[in-house]
Amino acid sequence: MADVVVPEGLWDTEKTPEGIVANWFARDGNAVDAGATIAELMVEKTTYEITAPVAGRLRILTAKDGVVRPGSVIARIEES
Amino acid sequence: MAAAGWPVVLRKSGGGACPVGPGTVQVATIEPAIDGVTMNAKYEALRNLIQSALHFYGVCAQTGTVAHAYCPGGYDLAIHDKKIAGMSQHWFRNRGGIRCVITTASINIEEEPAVLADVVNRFYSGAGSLARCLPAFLTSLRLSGGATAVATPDLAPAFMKRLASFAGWHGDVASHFSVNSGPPSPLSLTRHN
Repeated sequence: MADVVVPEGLWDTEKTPEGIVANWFARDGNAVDAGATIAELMVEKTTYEITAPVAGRLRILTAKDGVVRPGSVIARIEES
Repeated sequence: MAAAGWPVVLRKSGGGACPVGPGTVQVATIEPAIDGVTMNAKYEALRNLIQSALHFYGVCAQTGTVAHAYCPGGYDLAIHDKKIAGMSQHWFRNRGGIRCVITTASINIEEEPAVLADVVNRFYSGAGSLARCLPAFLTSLRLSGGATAVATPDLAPAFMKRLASFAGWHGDVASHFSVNSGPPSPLSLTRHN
């Protein structure tokens, strides 16, 4: 099982405490390829594409419009 | 909107509706996102460059959200609480798998604030949004600049060249900036599903 993580230190949380998951590009339970763009975050007018670290089945933990911070685990991938 | 001369285009970077016209300058930098680089560092680098160029024209612009302007954000540049520029970013992996960051800015050089506010508000209304942009919270370099700005007839291209010189960019300035030469004037939006 691999975590899909918002990179640590991606933004200064003292200036902008949190962001959101703006979009999921794969559904919960879908098979995803390693390196595929699976989600998009929105933080301080920044769109940040999240890619799958490994191939496998996606298990979404943070739904669309859910709040995220650097280091948040937003999904897990069950490796195939 | 297109029939009114303001076609709508979707952009990949974040934020709300941003009007673009012959009197605005758009600039974008694209760089590899090296380990440890932050969104804030990229915003601050471009912000500093724009502030330097504005200062050449007698403008001291401060950073901070102008809530009643179009596309408000924490890296708005304002003169006496009137927005003159804003920024956004897009982080992605290119075809080679390299993570890249595009940092963009839109700077109002000589568009009339009332015109820009009207365009954005027409879009908001058409989209069923209650958001509104107030022209009193917008400005341009033509309106707020000092004697140098007043004395420069083609201020937008002059500003682009000044920005490029401060950045150390060489060659064809137009290759670094988007040059708006007349209608149609796109209203740039960020896609939200």
